[in-house]
Amino acid sequence: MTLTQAPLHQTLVLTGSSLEPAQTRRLSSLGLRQGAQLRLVQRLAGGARVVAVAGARVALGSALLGGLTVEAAA
Amino acid sequence: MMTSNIDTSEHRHLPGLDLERECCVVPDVASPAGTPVVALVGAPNSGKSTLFNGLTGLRSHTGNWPGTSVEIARGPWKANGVALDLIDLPGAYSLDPISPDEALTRDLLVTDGPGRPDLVVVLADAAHLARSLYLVTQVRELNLRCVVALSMNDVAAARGVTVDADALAASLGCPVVPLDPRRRRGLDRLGDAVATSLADGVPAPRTRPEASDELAREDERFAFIDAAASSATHDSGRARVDWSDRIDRVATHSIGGPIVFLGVMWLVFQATTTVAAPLQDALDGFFSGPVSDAARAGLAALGLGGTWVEGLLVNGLIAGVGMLLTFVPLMAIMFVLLALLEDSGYMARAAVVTDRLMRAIGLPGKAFLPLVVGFGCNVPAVSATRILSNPRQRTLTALLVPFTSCSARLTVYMLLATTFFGRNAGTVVFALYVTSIVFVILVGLALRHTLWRTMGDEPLILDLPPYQRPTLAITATVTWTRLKGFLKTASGIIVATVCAVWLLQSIPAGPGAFGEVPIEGSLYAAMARFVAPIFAPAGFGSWELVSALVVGFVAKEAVLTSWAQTYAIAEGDPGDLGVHLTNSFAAASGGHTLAAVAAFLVFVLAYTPCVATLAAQKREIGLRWTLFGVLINLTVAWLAAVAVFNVASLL
Repeated sequence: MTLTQAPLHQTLVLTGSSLEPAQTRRLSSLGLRQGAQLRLVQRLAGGARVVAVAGARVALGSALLGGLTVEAAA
Repeated sequence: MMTSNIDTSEHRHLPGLDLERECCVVPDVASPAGTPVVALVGAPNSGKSTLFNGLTGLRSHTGNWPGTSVEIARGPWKANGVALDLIDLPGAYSLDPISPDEALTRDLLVTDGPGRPDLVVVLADAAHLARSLYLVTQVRELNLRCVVALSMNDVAAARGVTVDADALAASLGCPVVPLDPRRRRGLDRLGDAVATSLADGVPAPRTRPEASDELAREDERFAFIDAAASSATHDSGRARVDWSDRIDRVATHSIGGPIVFLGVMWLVFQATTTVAAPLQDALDGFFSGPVSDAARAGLAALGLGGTWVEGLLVNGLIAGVGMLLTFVPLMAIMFVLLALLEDSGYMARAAVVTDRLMRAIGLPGKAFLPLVVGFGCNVPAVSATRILSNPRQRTLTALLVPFTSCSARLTVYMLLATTFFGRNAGTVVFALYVTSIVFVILVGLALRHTLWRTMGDEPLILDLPPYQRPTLAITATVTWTRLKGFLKTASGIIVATVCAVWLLQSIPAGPGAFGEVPIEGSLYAAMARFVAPIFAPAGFGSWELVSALVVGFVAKEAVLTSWAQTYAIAEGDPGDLGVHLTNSFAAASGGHTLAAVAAFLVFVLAYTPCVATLAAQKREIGLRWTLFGVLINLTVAWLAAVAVFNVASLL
């Protein structure tokens, strides 16, 4: 599922990205890369979300969320 | 020949960035030849600027890197007795640039040219270690001396995490110095590490195994980072109290967020109007009272009383300098508030909350702050555009600030509205504020779709740093540096303009002595008469009405005193002024008085802001953009005034 559809407060694992390489690299440098564990912690206006990853909090817009695929962590 | 492992294919070379040029020429800062250059890099919100200020004290200067609009701070640093040249490069999460700021950082580190620093201090965040190590790792892959400054240890400790600096240094292959920039601890140790590294040769870059493609290279890099981070990190596992998350549950909530935001904005607006106003009035009174009186008395003693010399000194120089200094309390309050909002971490939340709304009109979320402040006074609002990290967004917002109707313009609105619209005065003023907002939106959209088509298409990615208690010492240092910068740029412009207006009003256009001619016989009036016909299509093409607009260029409140002067009546007698104005408007508009007044009001709303605002714009966005802004303001104002007059005349 994409991050847009993922539920809040559940530990997820990032499995893939269909975004442009520049955006993927930017997200990587913030800790959002393949295999990383993350949680959605807050809903924001306009479909955006606050993502908890690598100890940090990052607000991501809906356009980006739709390009990131995740699955529930084992 | 240095080889770089950084992928350069995505990099856009900055136009005008000439790395062959004289190294590091920042205005007013002389670097003694041969002084080692140390660059400070790190993520935004990592405390980099705090560290920079802590190391250089108040002796730093800011300016643009030659050929770019990227602002760099630079200052002297004495590390263990060694004199160094410290440059604070723009915040970057990695050396894969997304903005011109990050591209500059990357260019300077990667390219073997005269701009290359002798050593790089990379600021890492102990509370977000793995993420910080991405930039460190990239730097370690270059042919550069590197020292890691490890900050935020207290935040990490609050979360039950401790970082072993020695273990980390062993994994990374470069010194790691724990420190606390906010409390100024560990800075000497950093100096020792830097001085020692500079004495040694350049260490070998981190060896990277052969990789089949970019993805595999990235994987290897992340594996390295994970290993280094986990070997150095000890998680006590005890339960954490994460206050930041708790506050954010309200501060970024879809309903709570906007409420908190509006509350904060209201406080900012109140501070820059209600709190600043008495201080400004006091300063104004001081300069127009005791200082001017003293000057007059002094000149009278020299036998120069009542001459043009007195006019120049009192109405020119003292008035000009006085006006400049009355802005000091206002700007100081604005800079303090900005520093507090940013230092506490709330600014990022505000940007998130306003993002969707502002994006709809093509502006970034943080642009809300300067625009709100602009309704109080445009001058600090322009300075507030600094919070936008993207220079194009900064320019766009700074160009839109003059369209926010400031409180000085309100004085003109009130006079004309009460004189001509009686009981409907309040509605008229409200309509003007609505018009102001409409102008901001329309001009913003127009500029966005013509000049900056790709701007604002970047999706929302915003790091939310943990909330921190702002440190007063840092706030004070930052405020003073910014205030100094404003005074430096604004002083020349404001004083020169006030003197110029005085001069024009003193030069006779016909018979009469210099400095003793009534206003209608001066060069000032002659120029107003020359320009007045331009405003005939807007219904107020008479020199008395137009001349006030010229004075309004200096300060909007001066429009009223200018009219009092022009019609040569005593101040505080609005009845007569009202009669004079009515006659003037009626005559100029051919009987369509109210339509002409409405057109005049719209013109005052939109035309060039006061000279202090222009000075602030010149400082923030440069002379060319400021002049472009003047052009936009005049064009929009004239077109709108003409439209309003012609439509209203039909009603």
